[in-house]
Amino acid sequence: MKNGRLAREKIIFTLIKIAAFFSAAILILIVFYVFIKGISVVDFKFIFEEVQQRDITKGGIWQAIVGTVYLGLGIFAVTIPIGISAAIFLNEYAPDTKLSRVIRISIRNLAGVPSIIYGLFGLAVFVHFLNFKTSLLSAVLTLSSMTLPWIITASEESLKAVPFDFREASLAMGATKWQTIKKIVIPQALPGMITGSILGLSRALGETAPIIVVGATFYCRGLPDSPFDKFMALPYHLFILATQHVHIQARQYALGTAVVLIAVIFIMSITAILIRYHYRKKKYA
Amino acid sequence: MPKNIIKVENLNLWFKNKKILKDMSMEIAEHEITSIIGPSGCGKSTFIRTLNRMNDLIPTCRITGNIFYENKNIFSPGIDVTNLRRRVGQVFQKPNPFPKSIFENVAFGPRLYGEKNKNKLNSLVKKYLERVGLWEEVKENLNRNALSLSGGQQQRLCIARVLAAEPKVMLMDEPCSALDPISTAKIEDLMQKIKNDVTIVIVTHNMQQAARVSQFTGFFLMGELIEYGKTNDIFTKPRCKKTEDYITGRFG
Amino acid sequence: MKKSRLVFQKELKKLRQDTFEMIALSKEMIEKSTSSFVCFNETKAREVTEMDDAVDKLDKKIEHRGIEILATQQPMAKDLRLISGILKIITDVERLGDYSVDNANLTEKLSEKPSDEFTQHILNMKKTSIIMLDKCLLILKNGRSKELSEIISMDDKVDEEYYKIQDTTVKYLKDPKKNKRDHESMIALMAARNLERIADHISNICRRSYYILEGEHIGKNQTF
Repeated sequence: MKNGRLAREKIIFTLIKIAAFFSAAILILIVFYVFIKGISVVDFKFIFEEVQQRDITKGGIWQAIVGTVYLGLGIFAVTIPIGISAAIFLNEYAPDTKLSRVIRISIRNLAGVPSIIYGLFGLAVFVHFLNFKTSLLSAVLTLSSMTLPWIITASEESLKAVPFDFREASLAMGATKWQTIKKIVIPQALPGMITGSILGLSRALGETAPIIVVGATFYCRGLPDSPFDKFMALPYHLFILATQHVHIQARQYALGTAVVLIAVIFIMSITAILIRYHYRKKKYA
Repeated sequence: MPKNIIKVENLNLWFKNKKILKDMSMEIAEHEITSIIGPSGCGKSTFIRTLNRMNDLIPTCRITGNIFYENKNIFSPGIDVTNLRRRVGQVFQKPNPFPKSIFENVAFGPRLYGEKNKNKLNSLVKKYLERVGLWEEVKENLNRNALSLSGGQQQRLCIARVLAAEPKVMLMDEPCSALDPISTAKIEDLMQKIKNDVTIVIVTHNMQQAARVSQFTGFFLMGELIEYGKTNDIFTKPRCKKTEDYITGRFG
Repeated sequence: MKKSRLVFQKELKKLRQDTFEMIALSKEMIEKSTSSFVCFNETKAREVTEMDDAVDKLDKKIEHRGIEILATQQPMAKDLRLISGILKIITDVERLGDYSVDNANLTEKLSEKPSDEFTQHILNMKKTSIIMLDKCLLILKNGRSKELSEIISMDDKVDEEYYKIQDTTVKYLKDPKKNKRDHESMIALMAARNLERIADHISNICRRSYYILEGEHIGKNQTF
């Protein structure tokens, strides 16, 4: 009896271990493949020179990198204040009514809507209805609507993780609700909120489908001057090179772009981890 | 009988439909330590949380009756709850310093009430850390995170944090139940030291603690105040059979 | 009331039983020593001396157990009063034993059976004292304090008998014809004096019992 239980425990642990290794292996495989195939084209010129429309081997992908960074900054600027405020409202102020529960469930579900749907939504609302045309602004707003549910959910979770004890202590000191949120809850939840946001953002930056519809272009001369310009972005560039470009080295350049895209997203994830680590260290110093 | 700082009149309290406190009336003497004892679930914590209206946080809580703090009804609409809580501070069962530095914890109250002068804050922090006997232990590094202190130190820090708000009354909800005997003794000594400035109401499971520290004791049972009187009388010759059974440990 | 703190309850019960036993022993000593005195019976007197050891042992044992219970069980309210009361009562009970031994020793100093003029009063004193002690023991056992003040007032009866013996002694000493009985009357006076003290200690025990049961002293302006 006892032995049977021990054996079963061993089997289950082994299975779990295999599953973990398997998922790690997939990631490593992809990254390796992309790096080995693509790293050869990545050099200083590739990163810092503009795309040459006629011959992609003569230039770099500078506009696409900058376009993606612009997108990132734009999304950050839009989603952080809205997302965090919404999370604070939902978690701290909204009474527990049917309406608030419906809103919460809707937000959770929005996070699961396919990205192309957001693209179509952006096309209808930002491009046509608000008449922003296909532009950087439209793309920022579209990707922001896609990221918001993610950020709200992540922020709400980190707000929930702030122990009730702290709020109670602050309120018992005679702090108002807002003072408590501002001085105690937000500083506590902020690292979690920022990490969640950066992860949501990095997911958005990898998206191709929505931005095709609302403003990304394969080629534009120079960097965008205003939010109403079209722009280039890494994932879309990669997509075109990989599927539609005629150049003989297009496939290799696509992989080179992929290396840069992975690097950008990797840097962002690392930043998120560093922020979390920094705060955690401070918390238990 | 000394002057009363808090007067409770016919207090009833429900959570949803469950009646937690039943027609309670008692007066709390200023500059004395009043302890509240009783078995788990008798409503003692709920009772002291009513005194600073912390039960407002519970949406299903319904209250009838009056509580007068310095002759003002704390349930009247004109009362500023934050002001009441500043005057009637609370120390909780589990030490709950904010995850900030020791300095920021003590400075929390003064900052909240608008003190910005750094020198003033420094001297306040020192004063109250000294008051709770923590200064010598932490003066080397006030920027240390409060959560790195031991449980007993954390609880004393929480008391310092409450005292820094200069309350008139301090409610203590089983403040020593998570602490070792030495930390407990330190806090009990501290209570005697500050009671001339701050009226203390302490809820405790530990009857010996109630007997040691308080001048008045109230015995709660199933939401009722069974007996209330001088601690010396309650623990040597309680008037009520139920009190006697509880105090002598004959209560299942 | 549910059963709880079983160890504590058992300890308390043992302590009470030991105390009752000690009281019973000293009661026997009072009886024996008095009868040894009035009958001029030296064998009985020696038995009393032997019994005193048992009383002393019980005294030490009860004191020690009482302190142990105080330290380990933290008794409160009536339990606390019971233990502290017992700790005081046993001192009085121990004195009962000592006075009995004194009286037994006085027997050996007698040269003949003391005259009825003394023994009649001495026996009365003993009888009253024993009644007081019996009643007090009963009250301690069943926990009803009502009759205690009556019992305490019985001490006056013992005192009266003692005054009679004083008077008789004075009469003897003053009477030139009865000079040869000086010795006997002095010893009888001493024995009576011891019995008078015994009754005092018994009323102390009664007062202490009242405190155990009621949590306050009986009457006012008590001096012990």
